[in-house]
Amino acid sequence: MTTAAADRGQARARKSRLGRRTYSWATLAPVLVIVGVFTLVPFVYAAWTSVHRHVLVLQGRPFVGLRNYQNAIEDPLFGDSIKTSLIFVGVSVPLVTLAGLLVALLLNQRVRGFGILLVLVLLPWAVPTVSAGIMWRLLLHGDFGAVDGFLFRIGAIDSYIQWLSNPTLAMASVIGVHAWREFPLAAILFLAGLQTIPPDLAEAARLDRASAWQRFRYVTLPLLKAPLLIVLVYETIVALSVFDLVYVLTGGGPGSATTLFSWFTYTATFKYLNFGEGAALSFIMAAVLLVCIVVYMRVVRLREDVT
Amino acid sequence: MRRRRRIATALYACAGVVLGLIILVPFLYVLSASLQTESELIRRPPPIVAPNPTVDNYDYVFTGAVPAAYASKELLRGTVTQDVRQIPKGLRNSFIVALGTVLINLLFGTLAAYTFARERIRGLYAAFVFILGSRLLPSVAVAVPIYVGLRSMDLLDSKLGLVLIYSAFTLPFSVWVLTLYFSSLPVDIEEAARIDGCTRFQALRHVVLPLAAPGLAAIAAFSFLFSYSEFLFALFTTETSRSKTIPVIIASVSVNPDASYTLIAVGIVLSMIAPILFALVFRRYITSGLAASLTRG
Amino acid sequence: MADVGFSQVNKVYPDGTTAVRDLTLEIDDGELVVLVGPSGCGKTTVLRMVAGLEDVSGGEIRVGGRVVNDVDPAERDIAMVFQTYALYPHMTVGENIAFPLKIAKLAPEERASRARDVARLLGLEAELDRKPRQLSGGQRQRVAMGRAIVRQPQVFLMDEPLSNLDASLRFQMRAEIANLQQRIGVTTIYVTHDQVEAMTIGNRVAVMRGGELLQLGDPQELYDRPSELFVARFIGSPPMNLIEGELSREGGYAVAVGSRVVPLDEAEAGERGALDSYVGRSVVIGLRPERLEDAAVASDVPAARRIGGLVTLRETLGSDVLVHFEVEGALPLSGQVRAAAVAAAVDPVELEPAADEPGLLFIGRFDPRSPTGQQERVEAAIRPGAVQLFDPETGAAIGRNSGSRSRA
Repeated sequence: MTTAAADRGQARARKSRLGRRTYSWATLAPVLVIVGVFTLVPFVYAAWTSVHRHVLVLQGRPFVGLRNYQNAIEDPLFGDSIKTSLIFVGVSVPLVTLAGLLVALLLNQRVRGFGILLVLVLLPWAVPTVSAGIMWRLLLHGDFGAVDGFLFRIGAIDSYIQWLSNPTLAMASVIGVHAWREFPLAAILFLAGLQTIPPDLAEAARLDRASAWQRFRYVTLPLLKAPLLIVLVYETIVALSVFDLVYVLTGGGPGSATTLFSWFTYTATFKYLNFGEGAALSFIMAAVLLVCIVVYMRVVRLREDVT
Repeated sequence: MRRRRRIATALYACAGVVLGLIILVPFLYVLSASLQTESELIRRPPPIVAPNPTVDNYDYVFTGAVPAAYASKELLRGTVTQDVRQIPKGLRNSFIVALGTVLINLLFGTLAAYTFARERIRGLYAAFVFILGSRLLPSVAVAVPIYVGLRSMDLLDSKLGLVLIYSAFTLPFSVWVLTLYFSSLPVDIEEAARIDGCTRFQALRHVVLPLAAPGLAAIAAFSFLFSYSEFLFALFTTETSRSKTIPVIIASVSVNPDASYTLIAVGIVLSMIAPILFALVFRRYITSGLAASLTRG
Repeated sequence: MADVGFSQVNKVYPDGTTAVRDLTLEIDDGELVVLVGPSGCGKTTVLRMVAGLEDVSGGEIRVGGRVVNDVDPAERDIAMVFQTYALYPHMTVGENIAFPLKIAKLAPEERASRARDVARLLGLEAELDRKPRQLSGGQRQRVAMGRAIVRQPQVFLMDEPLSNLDASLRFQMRAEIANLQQRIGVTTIYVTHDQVEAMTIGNRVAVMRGGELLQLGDPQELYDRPSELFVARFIGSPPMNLIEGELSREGGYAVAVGSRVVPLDEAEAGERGALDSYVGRSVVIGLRPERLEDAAVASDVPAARRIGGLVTLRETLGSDVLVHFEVEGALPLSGQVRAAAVAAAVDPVELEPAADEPGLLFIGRFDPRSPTGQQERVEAAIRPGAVQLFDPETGAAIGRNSGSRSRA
């Protein structure tokens, strides 16, 4: 091959590569710009803010190093809200996961009429969290709520329960409403996982005279690992970021009973207008989230090797 | 054996009924509450079914005609509040913002996802990771900077501002799902289209998009539901009815001590109509979209 | 209708691998040329370069006299039938076939009528409103062909169109494609890894290996006069028997086949003096199974032109019997020769058990009357002109086979 032809060929190739490169980045530009401007830039700005004193009512934004972080951690509510969030996550994530799994198993059975359920099950997840929250607030109202009304009518209680003004019950209520709202997503993911299980596997197990529990444990469960991981990660992130529900259900109260970490961050930022500290708290939260994700992935992968 | 099967089926059916009730009862209650007058509702225990269903509450929200039942102001919470009149505007704003977000997702998300799925240029993987990774940051972390940024762009209290924020939050997921979808389409079909004379865009329009329609529908549904329900950012970036979305309005109504419960109920019901309709219509695509991200994620 | 030309065409991938090396070849208008070779030989890459689906790294490709290297696939006026058919799943058969016409902005009535004509030609009229997933493999293949035909392009490209069909269907479709191409008369480049398909369909066949064109010629030429070892072994089924032996000259030329010394006749020796440089050296000897016969049946062959062996297997085909026998006194092949021989196998597992030792085991396609049974000694007679000789280092044919490698 002559060098002239080789050169021409290479030049042509380079030109077409350039054209494709321009085209490719042009198609990515809108997305990159929007995501960059509204996520990356704010993130960098937030990082900057977290190491400066930025309080709305005060003048000046001096660099304060890690003082924001220090102040945040030393705030008594910090430890409390972390504890509260831990309880919340510790209870609601398994609750949602389990509920989702059970519902998925139920819906996987071929029973007439379950088609309607498949439609209904989406509803709690599809409606705005705020709407669901206010709805349940009406239901759980200590004086006129329907839940109390129902329990009273059937004689289960003889005086109205203050769901939202009793610290423990308030927490339980928030967890409950959260679970009501979140379980559909888990259910759908698990259902999708269940439906990818080839029926001959279950048949083979049945022929091998495996009990229902054994079949579940050795055939179904291993194949549910993927949805399990996704559900756990996603629900943990959601549980740590819960805001809307707390706003409309309890406003963080009574007292600080339902002041989750995300709520604490919000009040620090918007009620006390201490943006520096708010930013610091957000980063702490982000770090925690990252750790959770990494831990989950390790754990589930480990189990895969063992089984 | 058959008896055991029948008992099992009966048990399942019972469980199914219980599940259905758990899901439905709150909705039915709030619907019934919205059709009552305050005096009927505020009782211990509250009525199961609306005794004299009336649409007066809805009337008030949309037209301002004060319901007859509120003529007497005996009850503490019997007063009717102006806040509630903002609900129709809130619905409109939410719908517009959600629609705008869907359009951006469909348009830009599709373009980007197609490039990710088909092109092999240096740096594409990094861009992909960048876009997906942006979702790892909790929203609260970027709340204040976004506020400051919007203010500098004069986009506070605007529907456009909300659309941009929501797009930034929904695009990563859309791009991810659509990239998966496009990758799963066999390349030779697109090559055949090019040989048959199609330009890149013609191939996209006639061949790729029709085949990716389920994925697009799923994206549209997710983006719509997210934007419609979003609360935090709507709360602190909007001020007037020019851009306040429905979650903000009903939340403020619900914390208003003067608002009657029936009106709050009306707000809830109205706020849920659009998402429920969307979820019902797009149900199949939502579930298959989730399933797809599961198997190929 | 157009001719297709390749001048020094190269394809080098970004990671450095060369898929096609210096391909030069001319295809005449209306010809059906088959590119055949083992997987990875570059034949599909060549096809895709003509289609415009791969960039050309060097050299020129011409269609109808026009250099098309930088021309968009859509503008090249070529049609392609993919190995997977690549039918549009969301369109009906009729819409699939008419699609190129739709892009070409033909009026709906004309689109419909041309699509119908093509469908009739291919026997698809009944399926026009069905979707591809409702069709059988053979029907889908025909839809793919229909979509290509309807455009009346200058060139047809076919990428292993029959490889996804089962054997009996393949046999039938082979003939149909050949007939169709003759009727329509469009220049066609056909890619396959099946040498039987290549031989039966092509006007001319191009054998490729490792990105290079080894030999181009009509099927009979490739069979009778392979230009080198790989081609010789690749074409023909069962494959050509190979053995190494010393070439000697005492009066006439002779080669050692195992423990026998077989004299060469005039045709085999070729031009005067062509073999002189090999006297006293080892050469590769090729004998096609069809050119061997049980001496008990072919009694007219002189005793000197016989080789002996022990029969290990008899396969009755009805029309012939394939007799596998171990050649007396044969030694294993040297590395390079063996590599070429093995590489030419479609699927090494398919060959006889000693496939990695070609040279020890011969196959003869004998008359069914051959009496020699398994575990018996056989005398295999070599028909006149059957011996083909190859250089043990280059693999090139020597003696009478020194024909040109490609027609310019």
